[in-house]
Amino acid sequence: MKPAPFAHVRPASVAEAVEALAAGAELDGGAKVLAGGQSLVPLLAMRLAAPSLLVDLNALPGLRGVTADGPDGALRIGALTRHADLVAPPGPVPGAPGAPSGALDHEIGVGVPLLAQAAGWIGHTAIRARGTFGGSLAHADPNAEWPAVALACDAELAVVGPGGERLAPASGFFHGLLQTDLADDELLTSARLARPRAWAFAELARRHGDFALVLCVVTELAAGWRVVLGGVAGTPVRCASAEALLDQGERDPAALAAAVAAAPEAEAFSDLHASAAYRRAMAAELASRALRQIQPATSPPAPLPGGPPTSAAVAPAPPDAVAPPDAVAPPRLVPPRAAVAPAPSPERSGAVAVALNVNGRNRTAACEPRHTLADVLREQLGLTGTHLGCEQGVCGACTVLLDGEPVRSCLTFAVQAEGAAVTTIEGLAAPDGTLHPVQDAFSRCHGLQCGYCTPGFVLTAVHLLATDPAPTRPAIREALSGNLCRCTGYVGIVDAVEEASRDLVPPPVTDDAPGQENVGSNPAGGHD
Amino acid sequence: MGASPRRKEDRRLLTGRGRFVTDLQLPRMRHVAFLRSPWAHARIVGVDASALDPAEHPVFTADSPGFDVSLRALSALPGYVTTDQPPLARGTARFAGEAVAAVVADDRYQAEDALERIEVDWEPLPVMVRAWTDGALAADGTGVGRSPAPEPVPAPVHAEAPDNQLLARTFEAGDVDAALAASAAVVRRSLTTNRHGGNPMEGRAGVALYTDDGHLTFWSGTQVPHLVRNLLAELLELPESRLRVIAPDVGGGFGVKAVLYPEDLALCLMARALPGTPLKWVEDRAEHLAAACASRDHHYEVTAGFDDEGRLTAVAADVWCNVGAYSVYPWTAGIEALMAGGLMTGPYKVAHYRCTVRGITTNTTPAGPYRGVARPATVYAMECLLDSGARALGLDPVDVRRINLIGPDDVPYRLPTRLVDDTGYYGECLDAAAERLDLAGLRVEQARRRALGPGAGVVKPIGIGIACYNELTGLGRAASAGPRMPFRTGHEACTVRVNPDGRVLVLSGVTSQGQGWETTAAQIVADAMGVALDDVEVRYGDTDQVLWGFGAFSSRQAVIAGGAAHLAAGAVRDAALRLAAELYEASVADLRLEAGKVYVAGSPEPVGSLADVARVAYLESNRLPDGFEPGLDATRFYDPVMGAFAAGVQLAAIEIDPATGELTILRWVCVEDAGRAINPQIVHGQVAGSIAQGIGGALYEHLVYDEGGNLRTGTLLDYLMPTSAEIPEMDIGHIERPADNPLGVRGVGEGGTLGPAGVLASAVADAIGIDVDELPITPDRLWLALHEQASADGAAVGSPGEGTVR
Repeated sequence: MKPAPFAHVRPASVAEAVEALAAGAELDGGAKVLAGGQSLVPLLAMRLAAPSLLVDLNALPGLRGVTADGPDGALRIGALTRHADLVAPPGPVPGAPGAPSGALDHEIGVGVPLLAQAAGWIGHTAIRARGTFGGSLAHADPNAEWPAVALACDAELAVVGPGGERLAPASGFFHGLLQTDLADDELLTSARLARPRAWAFAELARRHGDFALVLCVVTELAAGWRVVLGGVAGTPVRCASAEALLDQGERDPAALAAAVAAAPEAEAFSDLHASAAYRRAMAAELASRALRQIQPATSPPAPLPGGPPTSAAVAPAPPDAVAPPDAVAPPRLVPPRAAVAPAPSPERSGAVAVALNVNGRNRTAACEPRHTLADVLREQLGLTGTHLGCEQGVCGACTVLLDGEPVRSCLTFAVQAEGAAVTTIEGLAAPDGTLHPVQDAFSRCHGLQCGYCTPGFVLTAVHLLATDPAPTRPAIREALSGNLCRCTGYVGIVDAVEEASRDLVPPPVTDDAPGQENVGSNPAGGHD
Repeated sequence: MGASPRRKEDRRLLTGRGRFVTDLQLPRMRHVAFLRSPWAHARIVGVDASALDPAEHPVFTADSPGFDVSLRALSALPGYVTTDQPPLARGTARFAGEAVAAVVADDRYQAEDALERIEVDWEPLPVMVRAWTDGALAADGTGVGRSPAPEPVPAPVHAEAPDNQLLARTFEAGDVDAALAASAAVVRRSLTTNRHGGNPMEGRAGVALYTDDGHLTFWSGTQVPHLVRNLLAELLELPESRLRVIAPDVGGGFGVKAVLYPEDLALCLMARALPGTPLKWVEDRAEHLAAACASRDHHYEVTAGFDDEGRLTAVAADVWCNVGAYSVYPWTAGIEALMAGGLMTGPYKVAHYRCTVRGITTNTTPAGPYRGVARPATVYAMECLLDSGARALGLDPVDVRRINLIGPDDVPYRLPTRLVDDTGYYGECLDAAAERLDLAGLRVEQARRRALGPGAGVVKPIGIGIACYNELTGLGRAASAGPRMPFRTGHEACTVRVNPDGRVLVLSGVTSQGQGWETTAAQIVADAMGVALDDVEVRYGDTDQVLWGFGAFSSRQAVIAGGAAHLAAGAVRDAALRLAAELYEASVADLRLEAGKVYVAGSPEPVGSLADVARVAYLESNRLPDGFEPGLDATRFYDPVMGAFAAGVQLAAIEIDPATGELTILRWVCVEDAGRAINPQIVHGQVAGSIAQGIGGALYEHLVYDEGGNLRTGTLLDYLMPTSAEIPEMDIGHIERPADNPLGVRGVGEGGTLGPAGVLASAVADAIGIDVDELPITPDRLWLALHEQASADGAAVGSPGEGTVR
């Protein structure tokens, strides 16, 4: 599963990006926008998509971050804002056994709690570290969180094309399964979301981190109530009859559920994972759950903790003003890259030189744009400890740290790591061979059997403990749920991470007993 | 022995220095990709590779020189239909994903580019994906256990089998009809299990290098390197001495890699055509899901009779196993069906038994060995029967298990299929598991919730599920797995060699794909010899180093290879002590080895060391007494003849959200009798990992084909393997009742996988009175069943009553 050849450009401005898209549209295979790549790269690897050109937005300044926009408390979210920038601090697994779906807590998160709540349902740590808000909207998966949230917040999307910027309301943006209002030469740069007075988010997924089977977002905006369903149709849909009920003051969850159950918008589809009847019934159930959990509309909007960005607009702005606020970015394990290197040659499939720092050493690789970071590490740099288990972004075996963030190296092209610091499993032990405490704990606790998935688990755990030094067992299970192990049943792995956390940090004075509620920082908080 | 030292393999695996075939890089190495059939059944009219430069991109098809060989899984079973599996599809592709052509390129990217330039002209044929027809048996139950023979089909998968049946066998003991007629209750269930597979995190992988002097080296992520050498040598007509198979670190196997695949053969044939060029093929996940063996695509029509106290009077069954497009090599199409028929009744006593099993070929991926082989399905079937029987008689479901379990007084117990169960400790496991689960406390909570009634809305019913199983492990020649194949997998060789420095090298025939054999074997040998663990090195997986071994499958490493290691180590120890007796002028009976030192009875200080003795054995033949040959090593085979049953019981408590059908596991308990544990941590890890795979198969994993034979779950986004967020914490207990073999051990690799489907089906029935007749148990199926149950009752969803999950 390897992508077909493509050319890769990394424009330095939105205008350049639009220009590249326009030029790329003329090529045989057209052009595709590469943002987080978490949905696009698997399609490329399976050769379900074979564009001639990838326009890589990751060097664009000014598109990452959340800012207040206007006196009504609206928010502007840059298209390159990573899911992780919006997610709540780690906590027990939302939707996992024992935790109810769609629970609320107004104390949670950064920016707006609805965003934090929704972001917590997206994929896993490594997916959230790379995937972007704008990419999710533009990809338009009806089972994804952001399209539904955007619709529920009357989002207005800023779209830049050759003729300049236009504003596209979310209500008309999603045309169908993976289809949007965006023209081939247009770029989504940001979204302006009304700040809800009250909100609730509820989701049902088969496994933790999977795309939703069904999700429901309920918001009260100045303009009225919104009830948005995801996963029932080709796009997220607003449920007019349910909204009308709420606008009329109806607050009975059963009445809302009945309205959704009867709504034409809830006409669902059947697929491998659920029948249409089930989806419709769950849409109604989630709507009623959302309403039961919604907070009084009199609650003031939660303040943005950690000092919100204050610039009036996200783009364009000076690069340092639009970096994600410190409160958003988890502590970095290695310094961020010093400078962005010049964009490589756009020659399709021609070899380009990529300079990167791997485990503290500066390395150069000559590779094609389509070569994944995983393959370049393994095949060119001889670092075969990074393993490929699926090349679909699911199994996590290929996880490495890119500038301190866990990423799937099968979903990251080596050209995207230009100038970055990469930590692989080979870089964890001390020069004298002393194992990293996480490695050591894996050995003590029988956290590995065949050892093939182990490098990805160890690096994910190292990142977890850097961001949450004393995670509970449920938090460990949540954090590792983006990595598949087929041998251990996870028991030894969870034991190992728990032990490593004790090795790395002395235990606190008060006993943090398992199962203790930690409502303040729990994305699934506020439940029974 | 009995301790859990750090595993010897851990350091390299934890530091990224494992030696997986996937990681292998050799000079001049080129890469192979396979073109796979997009059709489930189609005639190949032509393959056109003229767009590729043959010097740059050699292309191979069934017509290439040397490709006219086939894998032919053989069995002496009466009526068995032998079929051919070509290395590349010959004339007809029989499942979507079958390799049709192969291409060579400098890297995998370019190989996949080249695949896009090969054109195949197809002529689609009618497709059959299901191995049974609904309602194949008379509705009145007559003839159960004697299912009618299948009818001819329009487009048979193999011309040799016009009805697609590759084998059928009826197991029969006692008088089932009379026993059923005299029963207080007779229950019938119609059950379907879900196709799923091993999905080790490392896919299949191979590197083949054929040198000009006629030697072939095949690095392969196989569980069975000697078997691969033997089979390849025959297929390639090469002397075995010129064929070397090396299985280094392997990223999980679970049975899927205990097969010689057509891709393996094709890769070696290609290497022979391109001497001097190492050819590497690494299976990607899409290929694995589409083309590696899958399992458990079965249908069971089962009937059981009970007396009024809940004792089983008879069991009758008809079983259809979907064997896919080919008879898996070398295990044959009978691997699942015969295991199902042979061990259907599990650890439950029953004298009257009749079971007809059939292996039906279809246009799907071949079925092969996967952890537990058929028994996760048969355990599920038996537990369903016992639950239905308990309900029909108004008895407690756990009591019905207890009254039927083979007990210590029954051992040796002859199963109706003549296998002999040598453990009677199921009841002890059950009692221990019930206590660990707090079964009594949960029953109280269950009653409390029931009393609140369905109207309470948020009340989630609790259910307790149970499964008891006998894991037949370490099969010796009299019991060994498989349908009368031309080989018997009852034995293993082990060589233990003391080097001149007194340190020990172990060459073991079995292999390891995560089971920690490097450590376990070292523990066995260190213990038997009296040397330090650090002084024992273990090698396996290289046919040039090791004399013989069948490999890793059927939970046989500890029992068979452990026995061989123990015997060989004992023989070397004895030889060392005999020499030491001469050197130190002591009686052999007074000498012992401890931590590599030689002690004489009664003296606290050692008189010498194993290194001293070994030095004489190798370097100072002038000091060797008469009758002693130089060297210090021994090779021993071990065959347990029968095998060792491992007892296991799993209990779980679940709750079900009636509004969404979501099933939450509250507690999971497993108690096993694995005999004597060589390394308790590894035993624990095997049980936990196998339970997780069982849970995956029961709740999430499903390889789904549409009617056209297209795999609809071709990525890990659709084929759902459970993560750390889905797998519960587990409470695993052991009772150690030594088995009758040199180490007193029983195998533990598969047992955990046998329980979960039965446990979860039983728990659902206990919670909401709904029979799970089809796996996997998914939220939408549960919700639908609850919904139908409520409609039938005119009551709110979640009320007790009868229903069915389909």
